[in-house]
Amino acid sequence: MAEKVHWASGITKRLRNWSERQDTEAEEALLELVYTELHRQAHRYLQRERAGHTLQTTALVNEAYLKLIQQKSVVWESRSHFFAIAATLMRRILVDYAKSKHRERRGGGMEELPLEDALTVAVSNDTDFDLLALDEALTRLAEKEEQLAKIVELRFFSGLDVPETAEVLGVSESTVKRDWAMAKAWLYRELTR
Amino acid sequence: MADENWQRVRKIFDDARLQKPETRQKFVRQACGKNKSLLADVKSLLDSLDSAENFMEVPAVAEIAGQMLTDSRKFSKGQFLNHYEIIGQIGAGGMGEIYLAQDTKLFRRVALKILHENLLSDKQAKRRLLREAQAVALLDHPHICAIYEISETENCSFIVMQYVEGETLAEILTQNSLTAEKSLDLAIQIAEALAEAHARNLIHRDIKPANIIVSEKGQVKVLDFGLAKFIEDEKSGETAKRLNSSGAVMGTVPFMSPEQLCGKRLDARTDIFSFGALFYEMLAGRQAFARETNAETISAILNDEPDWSFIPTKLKPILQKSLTKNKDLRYKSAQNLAEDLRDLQKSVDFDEIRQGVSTKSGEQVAANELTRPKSRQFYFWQSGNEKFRVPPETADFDEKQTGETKQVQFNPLIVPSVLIIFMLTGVSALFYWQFKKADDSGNFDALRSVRIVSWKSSASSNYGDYRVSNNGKMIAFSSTQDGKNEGIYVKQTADSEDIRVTKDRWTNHSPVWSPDDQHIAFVSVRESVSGIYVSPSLGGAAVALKIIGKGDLSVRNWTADGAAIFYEHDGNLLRLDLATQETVKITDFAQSPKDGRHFDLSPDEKQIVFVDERDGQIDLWTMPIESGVPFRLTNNTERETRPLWHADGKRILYNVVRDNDMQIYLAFTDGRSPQQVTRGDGDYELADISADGTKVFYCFWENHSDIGGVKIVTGEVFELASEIESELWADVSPDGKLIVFESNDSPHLTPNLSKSSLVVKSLENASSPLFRLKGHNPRWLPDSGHVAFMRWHKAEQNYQYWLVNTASGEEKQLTIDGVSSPSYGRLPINRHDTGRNWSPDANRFVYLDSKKQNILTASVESSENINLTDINKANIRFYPPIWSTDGKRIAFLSMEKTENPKWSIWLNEEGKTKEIYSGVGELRLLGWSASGDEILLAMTDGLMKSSPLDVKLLKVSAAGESRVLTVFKNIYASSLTLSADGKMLAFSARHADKDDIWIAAASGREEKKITSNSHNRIFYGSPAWSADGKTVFFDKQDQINTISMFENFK
Repeated sequence: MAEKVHWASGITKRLRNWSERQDTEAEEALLELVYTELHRQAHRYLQRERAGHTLQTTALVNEAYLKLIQQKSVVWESRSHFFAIAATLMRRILVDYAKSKHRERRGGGMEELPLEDALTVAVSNDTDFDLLALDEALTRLAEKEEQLAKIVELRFFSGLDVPETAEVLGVSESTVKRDWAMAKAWLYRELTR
Repeated sequence: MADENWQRVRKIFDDARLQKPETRQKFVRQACGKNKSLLADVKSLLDSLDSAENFMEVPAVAEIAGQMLTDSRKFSKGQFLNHYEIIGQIGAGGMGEIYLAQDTKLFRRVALKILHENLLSDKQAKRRLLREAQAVALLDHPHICAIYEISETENCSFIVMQYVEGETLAEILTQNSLTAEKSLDLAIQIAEALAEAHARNLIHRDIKPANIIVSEKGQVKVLDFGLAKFIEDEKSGETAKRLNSSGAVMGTVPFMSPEQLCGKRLDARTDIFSFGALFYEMLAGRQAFARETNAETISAILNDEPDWSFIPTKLKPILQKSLTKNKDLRYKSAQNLAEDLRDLQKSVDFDEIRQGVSTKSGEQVAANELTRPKSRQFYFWQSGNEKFRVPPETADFDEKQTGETKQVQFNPLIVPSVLIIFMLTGVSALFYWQFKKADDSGNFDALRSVRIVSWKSSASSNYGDYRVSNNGKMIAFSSTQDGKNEGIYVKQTADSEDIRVTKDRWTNHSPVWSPDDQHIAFVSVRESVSGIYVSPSLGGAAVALKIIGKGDLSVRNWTADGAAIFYEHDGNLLRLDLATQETVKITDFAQSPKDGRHFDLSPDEKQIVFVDERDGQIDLWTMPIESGVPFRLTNNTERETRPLWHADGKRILYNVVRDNDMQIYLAFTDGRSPQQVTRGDGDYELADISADGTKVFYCFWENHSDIGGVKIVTGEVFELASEIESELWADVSPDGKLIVFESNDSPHLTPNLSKSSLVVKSLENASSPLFRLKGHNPRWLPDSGHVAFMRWHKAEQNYQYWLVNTASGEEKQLTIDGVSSPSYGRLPINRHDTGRNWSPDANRFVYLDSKKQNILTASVESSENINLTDINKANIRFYPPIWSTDGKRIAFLSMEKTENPKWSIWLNEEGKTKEIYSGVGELRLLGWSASGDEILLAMTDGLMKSSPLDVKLLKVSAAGESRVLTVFKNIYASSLTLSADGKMLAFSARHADKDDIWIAAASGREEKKITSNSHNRIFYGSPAWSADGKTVFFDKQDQINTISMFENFK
C-alpha cells in the first residue's frame, strides 16, 4: 500500500509541476509513471480477460489513471486537465511503441522491408492501418482544428467514452459525437487515399 | 481562406450526417451549389464515414497493451527467470518458446520451456502440470530428457529441462536419409526410453521426430514426456478441435494412433503405434500415412496399410506389429519391442538389408519428394555447426576505421547470433584457425572445440592449476573464491557446482590426480611451511606425504604406477617415492627462473620438459632423466610457459604470451619448428592433455561489461549499451545530451584497454552511436563539445592525451611526452582517476605526465607545459589532478614512498603550489564541493584496494582543515563519483554478497541503494551521473571462466 501512495503522490506532484511551470522534466517523469502503471494495469486486465471476464476497453485506462490520482490531496477540478494530459501522453506512449516495433522489424532502418511487415494496428474491425500514419494524419488534423485531434486522443488513444470525453473537454456530448464523426471521416479518408 | 473552407465543409458535413440517407445526397448537392470542389470534399468525407464504421472504435490502448505484454514475455540474453540466466532462444513450439539458460545456482546449462500463458489459465492447471512434471521428473533414463523443475515467476511459468545438444530427428530427416543400421540404432534407444516410461505408467502421447533429439555422438533423448497428456487435458480432450486447428498444438496427425484419433482411452500402445510411424519414416524416408490433407491422413491411419515396399524385409515384422490398427495385436509393451529390435540388430547383416531395398531406391527418391512435408512446424535445438568467432585483429591505434565498419559493429540487429553462441553457449562448434602464410606444416584447421564447463567468477577470485582426471570426467584446480583462502576444488565435467576438496584454512594449490582418480596430491602451505599432501578426490581429510619446508613448491606428476610423485621445489625437480618417503633430485640447477621451471614428465616417464631462462631468453628444454643432459627445444625471444608432454611422446604443447594474449603452441622433439595452435583473441591457457592425447584441455576467461542506467526517482533500470563488445566507463556531457564510453572487443579487458574504442551516443536516441574512434578513458570537456581521451602510442609504448571535437570529428593530439595512464581495479573495473582536469573555459588542462611523473598544465593551443610539481624529492609520486569549478585552483595528491607512506594534498593557486594536508591514509580525489572551497576525497586506512573496503569521505578546506564526514562500508573506493553540481555521490558497494549502485549526499548522509542486483557474480561499477543528477549510469561486468577441449587433436 505504501508503494501506491508513493506512486500517486509522485504523479500528482509531477502533474502540478508540469501544469504550473510547464516543466518538461516533470513531463518525462510523468510519462514514465503513467507508462509503468499502464503496463501493470494492462497485465492485470489481460489476466482477467482470460479468466472469462468481459472486455471493457475504457476500464483499463480509467483504472490506471484513477489509481494514480485517487487520493485526497488531488483537487477534483484538475481531473479534466489530468485526462487531457494523460491522453496526450498515451498517444506518445503508443506511437513511440509502434515506432520501436517499426524499427525492430525494419532492421534498424538499414533495410526496407515490404510494406506488410510494417506495424499495423487494427484500428477498425476489418482494416489495419499503420499507427504511425494515423499519428501523422492526426497531427495534420490538429492544424485544422485542434479539438478534433484532442477528441481522437481521448477516445482512441486513451479509450474514454463519449460522456467522459465531454466532461474532460467541458463540451456537450453531442458536440463530442459530432466532432468524432468528422474526425473519423477525415482521418479515414487520409489513410485510405 | 483554408479555414473558411474547412468551416464550410464541416458545417455541410455535420448537417448532411443528420439527414436521412435517402435525402442526404440531394441535401449536399444543394448546400454546395456550384462549388464542385466543395461538393467532392464533402462527398468523399461522407463516403469515408460510411466505410469507417468501425474505424478507431476499439481504443488503440486495448490493441497495443496486449502486444506490449506479449513483447515483455520475450526474454533476452542476460535476463533472469529466478536463478536462470537467459542465454538465448533456441526454439519455439506449440507450447511456448524454448530458451537456453544458465542455472546460476548449479552452474549448468538448462533448457527453459516457457509455457504459453493460455495453457495455464488457472491454479488447477498449474497444479496438474506440476503433478505431471513430478511424475516425469522421476524418470531417470539416459534416453529421456530430464525435467529438473517447474518454476514460475510473476509473469510466466516454465519447465526447466536438461539441455541436450544435438539435432531433432525431424531436422535430421529433412537433411538426409538414415541408413537402416543407424535407424535401428536410434529406434532401439527410443524404444528403451519408452519402455522405461511405460514401466512407470507414463505415456508419451506425442512421439514424433521433433520430440527426439540425437546428439552428435548418436545418443537419443526423448523430449516432453507427459506434457502431451497435460495439454490434452487442458484442451478438454476434443480431438476434432485439435485436428482442425492449424499447426496442431499437440499430437502431430501423421504419428497419431487410430485410438488417439478416435478420442479413445489411451494406454502405452498408442506410443508403440507412433513409434512405428516414426521408425517407418526413418527407414523409408517417407511418412507411413502422410497424405495431402489432414482428413486424408486420418483416413489412411484408420484404414490403409503403409506401403511396405520401402521397408527392408527383415524389419517388416516388427513394424507391422507396431503399426497394426488393432491395438490388441500390437506390442503390449515397449520392453518387448526393444527386445525384438535388439535381437534383430544382433542377427542382421546390414549389407543384405541395403540390397533388399535397392530395387526401390529410385522410386524412393521420388516418393520422398512427394510425401515429405515441406516445412516442419516445430523445431528444437539447432545443431552446433556454427563457426566460432575468430575475433578480428585489432587495428593499430593510428589506423582509422572506416564508416562502414562502424555501422556494422554497432547495429545490434546485425550482431550475428553465432557470436552470441560463441560467447555464451556450450554448443559444440568447429574452430577455424587463421594461419600465418608461413605456417603450412600443421593442420589444425578443423580442431573441434567443445566447451566442457563454464562459470562466472565469484568476487575477488582467481583460478589456476587445472588438471583433468585420468578418466576425463573431473577437473581439479586451485582457486580463491568468495574471499576464502586458496583451496583445491573439483568440478565434474557434467556441469556442476565446485566441490571444495580442501576445507582447511591453509593455502593449497597445484593439484595432481592419482592414477585411479581416487586421490589428489597437492601443496599445502601451513604456517609458512610447505608440504605435499594427499586427500580423497571428492573431499576428506588431507594427509601429509612429505613436509618440505620453505621455498616455492608445486606438485607436477603422479607416476602411472602410482608409486611416486614428481614435484618442483625452488626450480628443481624431485621424485618422492611414496612407499619409502625418500626423495631423489632429478635436476640440480643452482638458480630458478622467477616463475619456476614448470617441469612435466614424458609419457614413458623417462624424460622431462621444462622452461628455462638462459642467454637472456626463456625457452623450452627437454632432458632425459638418466643422462641429465638438457636439450634446447625452442630458441626464440618469446616467453614459453607451462609445457605439457603429449601422449605420443614426440610433441609438447605449451603456452606463449603474445600481444597480451596467451596462445597454445606445439613443439616437436624431432627438431621441427614449433607451430602455433590457437590464434584467437584472449587467453588459451593450457590445462591438460587426455591420456590418449586426442583431447587437449584449455581454459579461457572472458570479461564482459555492459552499461546500464538507473533512474533515481523510479528505480527503473535500463540498458544503455549492451553489445557483444564490452562497454564501460560512461561519461555524460555537461549539457546532458551526449554520452561517451569505452568499447572493447577483447575477451579480457584488463590488459587490453589500450585497444579500446570510444563511442559517443546521443542520450535522446541511444540506439545508434554518433561516432567511434580509437581511444581510452574518455571524459567530456566542460564545453560539451569535446571529448578528451588517451590513446596508446604503440611505438613509444605510452599514452598520449588527445581531444576530439564531437561535432566535426576533428582530432588533436595534446601531449608529446606521454601521460600517465589511470589505474583501474578488476571486476568491476573502476577507473581510479576522476577526470575534472579541464579549466572551466575548456582551454587548459592539467595532467600527470608519464615520464617524469609531474603534474603539468598545458593549453589546447600550445604544447608548452607548466610544471606544478617542481618539488625535488625522489621518492615522491603524484596522482591525477582536478581543477576547481571556478578555474582558480588545482588540487592534486602525492604519496611519499616511505615505510608508512605519507599522503598529501597539494593546492595550486595563483601560480603557487602548497601542501595543505598530509596523513597516512591513502587518498583519492573526488572533486570540489558545491561551494568550490572544499575538496572531497576518499580515504582508506591501508592500501586502497580494488575490492570493497570501508572508505572514509574526507572534506578538506583550502586552508587545510580536514573532517571525516562519514565512513561508507564495503564500497569500491574507485567507484565514488561526484555529481556535476558537487552535491551528490554515487558509488558501488557490496552488501549481502551483491554489488549495487548507491547514492548519498556529498555530506555523506542519506545513503541509498538505487539498484537491486540479483546476481552475486555480476559486478557493478563506474557510476556516472547524468547532467541533471536524476540518472546514474553504471557498468555491469562479469567474468566467465570456461574449460574447453579440442576433442580431435591429432
